[in-house]
Amino acid sequence: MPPLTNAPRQTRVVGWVFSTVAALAVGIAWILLFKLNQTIFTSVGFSTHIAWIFLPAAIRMVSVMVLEWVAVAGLFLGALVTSDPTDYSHFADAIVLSGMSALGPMLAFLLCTRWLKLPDSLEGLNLNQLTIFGLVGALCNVIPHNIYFYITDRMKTPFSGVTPMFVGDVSGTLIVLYLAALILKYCVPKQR
Amino acid sequence: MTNSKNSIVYLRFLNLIQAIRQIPTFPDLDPVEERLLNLLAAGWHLGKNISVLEAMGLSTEISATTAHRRLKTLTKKGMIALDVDKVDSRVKYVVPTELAATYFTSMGQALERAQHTD
Repeated sequence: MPPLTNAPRQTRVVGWVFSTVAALAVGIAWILLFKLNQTIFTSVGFSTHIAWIFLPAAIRMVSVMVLEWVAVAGLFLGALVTSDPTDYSHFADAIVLSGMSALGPMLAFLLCTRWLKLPDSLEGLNLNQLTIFGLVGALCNVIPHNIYFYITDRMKTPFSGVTPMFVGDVSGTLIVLYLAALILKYCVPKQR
Repeated sequence: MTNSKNSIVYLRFLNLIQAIRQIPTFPDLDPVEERLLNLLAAGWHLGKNISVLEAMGLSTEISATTAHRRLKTLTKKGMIALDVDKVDSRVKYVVPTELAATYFTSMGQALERAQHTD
């Protein structure tokens, strides 16, 4: 593969445009699912930042699996938009939380692709491996967030939010992926 | 992003879709399985005990080998079960499961809805 700087200028421009549009699409998807989650699942919220069902968690893993660092940029922007500025002592707090939200799934993706020895194209990805991605993604989100909440005196212990946040991420991912499976089955049937 | 990177992104997307399709939803029956299940349902509705051998010969359109294979896949999908005869353990009867009952109910409701829409 020729190095990027040798690619024709037009190709590089198209590449940048695609990356920008893809990152924006990921950010928008995050925001929409976040708002939907707030509307439907407010009653199952654990705290300001933790919910027993968290639909946007599905976007974290799925987008990073397809777009890698472009998705990380989109997730960061989306999380920054959905963060409540009035809830943070200063803007740096929002940056840190959005950064963790975006980088956690990337860490999970790197760990899982190496552990499961998957090729770059994810060829052969099966349901069990997808489940592992989801679980590791939830862990890579839950642990840093709870440590940070504890350090910043938002929680009495670093463990009190682990279970609801983990359950929220996993249940949100399962709900979204199950709906996606139904949509694929009935609206985009497989060619026999 | 270069063209090869775009290709990788597209391939990853396709492979992810394939993995998501594996998520179990309502059992996906092929036309032969559906036909066989409907023929079995007709027999069950009349209170008949249908043995595996009889099930294999239910339809002239489906060969015995194909029917036997489909009976296995229907068992795997949880739509039917095999009950061993109390007298002769070599004889197995094909019986519906809860999932099959739910499937027929859903089909009946869908048919009703379609009729009311007309």
